[in-house]
Amino acid sequence: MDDGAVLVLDAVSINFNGRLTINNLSLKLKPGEVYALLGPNGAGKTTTLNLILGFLTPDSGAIIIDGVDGITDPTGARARIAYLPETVMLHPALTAIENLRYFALLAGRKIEDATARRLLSDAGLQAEAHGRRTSDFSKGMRQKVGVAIALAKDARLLLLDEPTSGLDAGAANDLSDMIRAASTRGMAVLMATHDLFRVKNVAHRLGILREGRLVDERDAAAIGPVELEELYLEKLTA
Amino acid sequence: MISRLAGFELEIIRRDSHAWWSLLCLAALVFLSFASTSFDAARDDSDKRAVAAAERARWLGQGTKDPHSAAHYSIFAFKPSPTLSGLDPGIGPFVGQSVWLEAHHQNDLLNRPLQNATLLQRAGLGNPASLLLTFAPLVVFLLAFVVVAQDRERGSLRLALGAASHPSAIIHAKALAIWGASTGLLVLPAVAAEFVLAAVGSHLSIDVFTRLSLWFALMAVYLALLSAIGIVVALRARDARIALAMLFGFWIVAALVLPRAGSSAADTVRPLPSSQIVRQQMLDEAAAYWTAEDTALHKVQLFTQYGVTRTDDIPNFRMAELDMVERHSHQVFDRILGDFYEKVASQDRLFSALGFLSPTIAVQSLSASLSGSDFSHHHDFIVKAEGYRRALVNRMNADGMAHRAEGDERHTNDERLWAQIPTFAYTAPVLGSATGTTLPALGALLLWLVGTWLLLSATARRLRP
Repeated sequence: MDDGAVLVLDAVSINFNGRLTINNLSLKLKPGEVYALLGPNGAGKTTTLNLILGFLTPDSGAIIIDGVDGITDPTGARARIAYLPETVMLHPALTAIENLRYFALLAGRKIEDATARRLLSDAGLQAEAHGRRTSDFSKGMRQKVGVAIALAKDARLLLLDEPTSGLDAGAANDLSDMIRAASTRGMAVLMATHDLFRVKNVAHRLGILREGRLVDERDAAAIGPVELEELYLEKLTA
Repeated sequence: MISRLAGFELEIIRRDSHAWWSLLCLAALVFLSFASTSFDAARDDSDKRAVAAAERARWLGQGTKDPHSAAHYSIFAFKPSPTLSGLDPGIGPFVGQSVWLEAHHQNDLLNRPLQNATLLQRAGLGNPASLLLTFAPLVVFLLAFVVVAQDRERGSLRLALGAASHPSAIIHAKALAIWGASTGLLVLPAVAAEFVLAAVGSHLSIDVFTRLSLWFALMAVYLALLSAIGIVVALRARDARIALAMLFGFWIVAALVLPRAGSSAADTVRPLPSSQIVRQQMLDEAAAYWTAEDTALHKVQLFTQYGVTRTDDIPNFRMAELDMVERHSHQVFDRILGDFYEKVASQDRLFSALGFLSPTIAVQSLSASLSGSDFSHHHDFIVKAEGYRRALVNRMNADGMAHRAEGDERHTNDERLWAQIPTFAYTAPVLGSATGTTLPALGALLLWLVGTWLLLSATARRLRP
């Protein structure tokens, strides 16, 4: 069923209070592929990520992550995932390096200071910030630490929840570079977002989610920015 | 991995000024109270030894006299401080430390330490055990708030859950950090200092070492289950503010209200007669002075006992009568005081069973028992001091009875007889021989421990952001 795919969602459904929040969702990501899941608030994007992370259990369907069943073995599946929530909230009392080492340790990886510094630099965080407590970090700086955490985990699948929300243009651009770099390393990336411009910029494929259903799916290269915006609005109002 | 994660959590605690300083302040208070209580106990014991030696010299140097008069002249017995009184003086401050051993009377103990107590000691907060029982929950819950509730509220727990290969490890590491910080700072220094004092003072017996180890384990268990409760509430409450309110409420109920309410309930359900009533009952049934009618009755009993018909046929009628009355009083005291002490023990058992309602009650009962400062241990001293008194009086009376004396004639003796009475040397019971009343508390504590850790494990397993 997985054909070497890093992520397979097969006819996944879940309902809350009698309402189908995710309705028969199927999706497949290959190594190195960047997939953008578009949709308005309440479309089911974050629920989809929570299902993949094993925080929610679907009522039906299958979830396979790098060959591991995400429903019967959510812990094993999660070991293959790096996850960046919309707002990366670090431990404010710890430095960037300490945060990175802490979260890497959670993923079962013990990293030394030098490695932590390299990963933070790779994620775009300036060296002078490495040893500072993160309590006064901007959202962009915290995002970079979050990226370093994802890199440290060396995961097969990167999940991003509204990654550019609240970032300035420079920070959003840095994030796009990071996503491309992750893709180049062979990491599959699934990003839930509203940001059509960024989608066009980094994604290989995109899907539009509406009321828990995937109502359209395209190759990002095959569609222009204006067409994408028109398609998005059309699908949401149809 | 959990211990390494706990290291990060400890660092988070250390860098949170509110949590860290609260912990340090309580740790300092516990240690200072230990130092103060231990110093007081050492000084009191030194005083007791000095006075006991003077008492012994007074007993030996009382000169030539009638042995029964010597039994009245008698001697004081002193109760040494309980084994771990520096950690938990238990009922020590409220009960006497010395007893006047004399013929005809089983006297109450005198010189209660509370009579010389400081303001803090009078408030019941002048020792490590009471400080730990009352305030450790508050500090542990504050730590749980910092490393769990705030972590969850901020969103860093969600990130951690997304990163973790074993999410339950996050919770176990947090529990280990809270427990480690609180046990390491609040309990370990005082226990280590007690160990050193015992070793330096050459009274580190196997019994003392076992009691000290178990007292440490008891407090460690108390802090472990408080840590578990703090974490479970912090994870299950709707938000951090509600978690804090719930934990604060739990502290008030479990550590402040229930121990006091439990004590009152035990007193209501199993009331004790007043000590005045008990004392009066003893005087009524075993009077130290008697009438001519009583003497007539005693004469009949002694004639039967000796198989004679005249007082002159009894070598020393006066001493025989005194001995008979003395032995009668032993039965009366055993019955009346035995009943009273059984009621006290029953009240203690009921209070310790109330540990099922609050872990603080269970730990309070067990702590005093392990420290050798609960009522069971105090009762052991009463029994041994009374046994010594009876042996002394019986020996004096026996000497009188063995020597013929008629009418107002008095047989006398001197230091050769007084020296036959050994010095009173009290040995406290070993662990396990005076802990019966606290068994319900042990059961309650184990139930709390198992229950909270099952709850913690279930919460950790079902952890969701």
